[in-house]
Amino acid sequence: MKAIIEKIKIGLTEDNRVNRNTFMDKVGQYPELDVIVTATNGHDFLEQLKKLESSLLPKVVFMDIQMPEMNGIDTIKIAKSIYPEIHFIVLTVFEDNENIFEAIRAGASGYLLKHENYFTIREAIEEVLEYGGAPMSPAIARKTLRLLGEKRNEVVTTEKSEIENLLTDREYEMLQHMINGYDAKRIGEITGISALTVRKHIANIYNKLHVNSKAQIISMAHKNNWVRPI
Amino acid sequence: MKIAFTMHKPVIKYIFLLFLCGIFSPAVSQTKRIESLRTLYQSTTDKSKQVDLLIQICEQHNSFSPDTLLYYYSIAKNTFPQTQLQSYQLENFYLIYMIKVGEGEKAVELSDSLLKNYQATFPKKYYMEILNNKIAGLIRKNESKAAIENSFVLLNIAEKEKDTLFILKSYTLLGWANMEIEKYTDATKWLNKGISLTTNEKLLRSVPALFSNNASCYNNLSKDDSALYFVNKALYFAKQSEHLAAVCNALNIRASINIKKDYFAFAESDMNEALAVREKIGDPFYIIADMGTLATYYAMRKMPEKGIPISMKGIDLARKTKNIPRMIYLYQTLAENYKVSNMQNEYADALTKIIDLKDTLYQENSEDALAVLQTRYEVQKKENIILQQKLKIERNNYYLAGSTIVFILVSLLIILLYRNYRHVQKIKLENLLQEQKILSREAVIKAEEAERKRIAADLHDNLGSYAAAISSNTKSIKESPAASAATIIQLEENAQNMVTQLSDTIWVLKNEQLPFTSLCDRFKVWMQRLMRNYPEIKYNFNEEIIHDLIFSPSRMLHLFLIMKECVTNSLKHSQAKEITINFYSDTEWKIEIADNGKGFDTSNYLRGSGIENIRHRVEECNWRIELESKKESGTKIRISGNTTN
Repeated sequence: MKAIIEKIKIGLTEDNRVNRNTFMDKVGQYPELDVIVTATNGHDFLEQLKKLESSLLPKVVFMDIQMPEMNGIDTIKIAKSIYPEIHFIVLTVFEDNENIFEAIRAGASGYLLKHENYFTIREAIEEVLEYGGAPMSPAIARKTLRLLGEKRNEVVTTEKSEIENLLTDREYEMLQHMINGYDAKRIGEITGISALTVRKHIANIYNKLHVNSKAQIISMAHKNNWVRPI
Repeated sequence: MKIAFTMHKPVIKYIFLLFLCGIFSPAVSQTKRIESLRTLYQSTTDKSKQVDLLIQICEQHNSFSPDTLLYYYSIAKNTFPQTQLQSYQLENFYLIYMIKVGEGEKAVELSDSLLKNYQATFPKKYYMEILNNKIAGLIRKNESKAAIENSFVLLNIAEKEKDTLFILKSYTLLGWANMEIEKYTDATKWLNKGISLTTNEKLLRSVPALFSNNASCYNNLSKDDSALYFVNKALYFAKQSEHLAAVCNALNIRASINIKKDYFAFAESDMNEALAVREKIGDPFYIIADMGTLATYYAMRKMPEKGIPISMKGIDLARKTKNIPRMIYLYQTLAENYKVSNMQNEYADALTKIIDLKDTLYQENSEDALAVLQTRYEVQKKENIILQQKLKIERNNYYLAGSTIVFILVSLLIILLYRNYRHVQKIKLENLLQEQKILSREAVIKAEEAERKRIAADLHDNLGSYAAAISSNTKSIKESPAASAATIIQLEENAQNMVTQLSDTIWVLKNEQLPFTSLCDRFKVWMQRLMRNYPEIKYNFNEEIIHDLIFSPSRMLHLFLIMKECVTNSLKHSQAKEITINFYSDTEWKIEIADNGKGFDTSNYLRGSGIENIRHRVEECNWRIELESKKESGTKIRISGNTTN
């Protein structure tokens, strides 16, 4: 048995040819990454995924937001419900915080600027795979706090699902620090907990943001025949 | 035996049938129900079934004339065999006939004897039915007090028997009795009790009078909306149960409500419909009421030539049936018509007659109404006197009228002139305001345009110079590949700067409203990326946002660039180990950039160290900048402003 370095399977969905090529150039020279899916829009992406065996699915997919036919946010929403194991990182040219936040709510685990260098891309992949989510930028953390933090003060419902979506005190604290622009290591230093625990909290926050009406989306997925026939 | 009977007397049966046909064929079919009953009767040969059908026909007495009722009753009475109960039922119909033709005295006598002869084996409802009719007779005879007493008896029995229909009928009678003696509020009390008793439409259908009487009372109390509501309900129920008399009543009441509101067209159509139906039925008690409504209508429309004869006809009919309340009502309509046609003497006479009749009415019914009567009498006497005085004044008023008209014309002229003046002034003012609006709008547009131009100019300058630099870089690489390593680094820098510049500009241009926190967040991200190159330097952010102020795009961009320069400066010159940025926003905003570096002499700073540039930029925007720096203890730059434009 040969000792092969397990290549990390990744995917890219990007409608602009120049951007696609730039990405491939950056990533192609490094053997650890294997780009197994290259799609030009959401439909294309879902079709390609359907044809892959479950052991051959990409682990991390880089998704452009603005695309024709089906944009990144909708694609992530649907793909995440069919293939919950895949991590999505959205690509943005100019740090469009509104869309980034919507993408995260739809199921993305982080974002990158389109023309970052290889090391930043690699770092993002590692963070997402090991910790379940990249630390949030101050703007995204602020939006998250606004969305989830307010509910802490109104304990009006006793529905289980509602309570699960409220922030814990630790998570609230994490968000405050991320608003202040600190990374996981720094947050660990300030709060006295390990960086690993910090990342776990952050991953939980991401989960709470990924609120989707799963049933609705799964039925839409079946209707549009995106789900692989068993 | 039945068969033998028919076989032996075929001739009589034949004549009998002819007789029936003679009666039935020319008669108009008033309602569907009557029509179907008659058809059924004509096709039955079973005598006992015939009696049953005739009884059912008689039950529809509200939809045909009293004479017709008498006919059916006579035939039924002579049809055998009939049970004791059936005979009893038929006598009830005779009672009803008596009441309808105004034989009140005889009717009450008959009802008393019927009540006495009531057999315990008969269903109780027949007892109640007869009592109900007795009360109706009493009311028509104008014995309201007795009627009310008997109504309570009926109510008691009905409640004991838990018979909702007769409870409703008792309330109807109570309401009607009070109404006849003009106790309208009391009447509505009883009638509303009945109405709110049940929502069962089948029951309510049988007592449309409950609603129409209520409507009439409310009309007399001048509560038009309630009156209209109830009369429409009455009409609905009456039509549902094909109770033609009730339909007529309701139509007339609605007509009089509409007359009061001056909706003459509606009133006319209702009255015409009512009259048409009434002719079919021919019950004198209600025909008088119809005439009254018509007479009132004519008076209102100033057609006394029609109103007077109809009033007189009504009065005659009322006198014949000894109906005093109706007579009073018709004398009132007569008086109205006299008034309209300016027949003063006849008007006065009519008023006197009304007073006399009311005397009789009140004496017969209640002693304590004297006070009310007295007041009314006074009022009517006064009305008489006023009328006479009016006549006098009218005759001598022409001069006064004339001079008044002149005065009015003159004042009208003055008013018109004044209003014209005011109008002109108003228009002038409006024009001024419009001009102001336009000017201010133009100012805003100009400001926005200037803003855009500023940003565009900045972009142009910077991007332009970077683009040129990139171009020259690539050219020099092409020309001398050997020396290209350094040039490539420069090229990368220039390209990166260009992207950054573009990114920053798009950031501010994308949003119309840029809150302070947007600046804070973007700056933190920028600094995070930058500080990756200085891992040994610690950096902190603190923010206190009480009120998130809004900036215009160019201002925010400016501030962002200023901040970048401060930090870049600090990294370049201060050799600090820690940098702290504080953000504050409330009614004014403040940004502090502090480092623990070597500081510098603020009174003697080097030119071109960037501080000069920063100060210049800040002052250009009308913001404040404070500089604290001591050698070896660090530098603190504070930028603040209280306007964001």
